[in-house]
Amino acid sequence: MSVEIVEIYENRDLAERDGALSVPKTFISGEESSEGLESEEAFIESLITGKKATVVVHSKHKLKDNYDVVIFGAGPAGLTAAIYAQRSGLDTAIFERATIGGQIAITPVVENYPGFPRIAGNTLVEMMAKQAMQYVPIAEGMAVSDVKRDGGVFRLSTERGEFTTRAIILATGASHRKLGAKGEEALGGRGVSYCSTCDGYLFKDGKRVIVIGGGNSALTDALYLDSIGAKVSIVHRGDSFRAEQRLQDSVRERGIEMLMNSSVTEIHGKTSVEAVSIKGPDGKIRREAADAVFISIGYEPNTDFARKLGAEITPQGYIKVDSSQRTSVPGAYAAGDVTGGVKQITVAVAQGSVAAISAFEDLNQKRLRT
Amino acid sequence: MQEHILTDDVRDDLRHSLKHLGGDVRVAVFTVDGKNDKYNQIATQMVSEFAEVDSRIRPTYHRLGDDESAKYGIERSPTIMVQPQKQDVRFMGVPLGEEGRTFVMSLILATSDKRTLSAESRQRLAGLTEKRHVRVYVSPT
Repeated sequence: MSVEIVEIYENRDLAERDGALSVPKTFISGEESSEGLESEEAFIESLITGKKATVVVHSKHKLKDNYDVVIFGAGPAGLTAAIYAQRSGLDTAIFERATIGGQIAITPVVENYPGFPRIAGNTLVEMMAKQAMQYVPIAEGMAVSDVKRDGGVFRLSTERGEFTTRAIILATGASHRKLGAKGEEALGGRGVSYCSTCDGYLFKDGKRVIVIGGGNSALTDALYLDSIGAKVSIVHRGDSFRAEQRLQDSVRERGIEMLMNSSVTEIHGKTSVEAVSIKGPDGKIRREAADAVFISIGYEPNTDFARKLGAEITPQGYIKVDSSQRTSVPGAYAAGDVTGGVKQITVAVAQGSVAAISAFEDLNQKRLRT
Repeated sequence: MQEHILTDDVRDDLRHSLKHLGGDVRVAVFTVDGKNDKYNQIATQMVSEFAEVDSRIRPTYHRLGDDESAKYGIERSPTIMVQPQKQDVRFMGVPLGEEGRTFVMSLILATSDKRTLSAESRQRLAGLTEKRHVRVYVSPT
């Protein structure tokens, strides 16, 4: 076995050739095996088969066909729900369509999770996942293609066949909101990014970067990119920022260019980002050279399953839950970012535990009635 | 006097981590002038500072095009190989920031019984007979 760890800034030609401007990105014997963080099990699977790992089941527990509770999503809310559900005696599994961890896995540092004054996001969620795996199987890469409510159970269709469960907990989180501009998809990972701390380093030393958005995370991204030496412009469609005043002051103090009442209509480039088209306040579109575009325009809750089941959705687009994390569909609960609110890890874990306890109470009541 | 790359705090942490080294470890640094010059200098200095912290780290310095670089097929500058006489693990570019931890771990794994993979993963890998080449793209953040 041979291993190369390639730093992209010093080997930009290789990184561009392999479309690896977003890191980490792994290739096994020339074939791309993963983008982003990967679990040990998935990596070993890819090494042995030479192919991208699909579903990887973590934990000593094997998957069964029937469960009391299936949790969708292995972020902090889902992992906590699993611990509580299985400990209360409910037969539980987690299905995660991507990788364990959710948003927190790409959070560089967490400083507001009690008990840990300063901890890397992926370290914190790894600890949570290890704890959950003691109790339940976590099927990573397990995409549920369909979910139906059939009498007292839910039927889940997956590439591993059909599963039935008496209750589901939706902890599907939220994904970065896409801009919808031409070129955004094609140049994803090739200069178009949704994570400045993951991908910003390549653009230090005077590279021209565009940050799109006007909230806290957009301005934080702009300040971070400015601090590593990139030449930053913020493009915001509104006439004022929504971000905290402190961040706005810092952006002004640093002299970062702010293009208000403006929007990026197209991102250009062959193998990587080369320019953007910006529509200005006068409605005219001009083309500007750029090496990267960081999009930070909020999150889109992953509510597909809730909508499929006919669960009520809030006007803001999140799954509506009561104070016990029950959705409007009996037997379906939701927890974490997908329910909206302040989107904090502490809130996600709290909601995860409440959802599991509610499921336990409801399933027990049902048992007593039948 | 040249400024140190490793601060006193980092040196203390590093000294502590390198206690887990199982013995001498050769670290070969390959560079060529005119390509990533700033990083060539950082790579060379960083490895020599590691050796100051723990004398079991045995640096060797080579130029692209010399016999040693030809032996290992080194084409990029800077490249750092860990224990090249025993394994093929190479850092292309300086392992700074987050990658510094990976580099330290690679020194420990190359010389000790310490393992990070689970027993199950090691068992599965033991059955792999074909050659595999892993390339991971990274950045210091």
